[in-house]
Amino acid sequence: MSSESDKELIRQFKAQETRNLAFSLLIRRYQQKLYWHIRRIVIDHDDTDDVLQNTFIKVWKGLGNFREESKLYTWLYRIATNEALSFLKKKRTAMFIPMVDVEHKLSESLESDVYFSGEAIQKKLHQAILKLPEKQRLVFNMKYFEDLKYEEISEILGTSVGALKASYHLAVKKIEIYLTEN
Amino acid sequence: METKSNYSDNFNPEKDAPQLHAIGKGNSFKVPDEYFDELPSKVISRIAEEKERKSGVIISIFQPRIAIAASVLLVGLLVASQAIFNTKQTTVTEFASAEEVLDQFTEEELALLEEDLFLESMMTDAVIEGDLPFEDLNDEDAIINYLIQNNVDISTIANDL
Repeated sequence: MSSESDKELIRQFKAQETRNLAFSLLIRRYQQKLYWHIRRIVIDHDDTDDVLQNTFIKVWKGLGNFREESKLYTWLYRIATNEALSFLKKKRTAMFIPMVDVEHKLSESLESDVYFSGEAIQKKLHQAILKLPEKQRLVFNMKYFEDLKYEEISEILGTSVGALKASYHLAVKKIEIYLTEN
Repeated sequence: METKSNYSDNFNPEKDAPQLHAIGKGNSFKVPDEYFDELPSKVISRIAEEKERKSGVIISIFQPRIAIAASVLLVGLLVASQAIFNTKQTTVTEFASAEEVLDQFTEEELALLEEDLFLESMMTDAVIEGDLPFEDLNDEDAIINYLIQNNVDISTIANDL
């Protein structure tokens, strides 16, 4: 999406009379990208739906003060990522389980997910991804599935490009080992 | 040794991660039918709900204050009206004219009242002064005799009262 059309969208949002229309357009423009980004973090569809709605509500509250120092979509990704990670944290607290077991639970939920249509090998890939540390998992998803540039990921996660490249490399290696062994 | 900068620059998926490369990037997750068509209206209605709830919260924050203010006002009004009512009563009692008071009695009552008042005041004065010539204060004959002996005209006194 061109940054010019995003700027126009923000301008319309900031004008009271076109705010609702602009926000509907924004949702339609970014809902799928943000949905898949969140879905790869929280796995379950219903959880993703909750997190995505909360993300858009935060966007509604914050867009009026958005200063356009970063691109709109990196700002949206940042909110979505934070919401998804906060959700997992809350889930861990609510279930009184350590972090490693959250990923285990998510991996288990893949087995029974009616909205997962992948073959066994694809399920295995997602289980391998869930075994990665949180940062590596985020970087792998954004680079491998979402084809984001390192500079964009850097802006979203606030991590240097060099560190992101190292994370991605390690993530790929670990996944390859997991797939080979399993 | 690899450096951070060339980690992925030299990355060749086919060679470095053949298993991963074989699986591909296909999306194996699904969403319910029409999910993306319905999402914008779901989000917009949630925002509207939040706005409503927020205004509801503001009202509920102020409700107890309004209730307390109303109670204080009510109590104040009651106290004020009571005070005004009492003042009016006092004013009537203290400043009612003699005519207004007399209007409350019939002619007969007034006649009795005048005699009674006269005799009573005579006796009271006499008691205060301590020089009554008779022992029994209820002995009307004795009182009348006393007045006659002192040339006091009872009817004149009654008229003057």
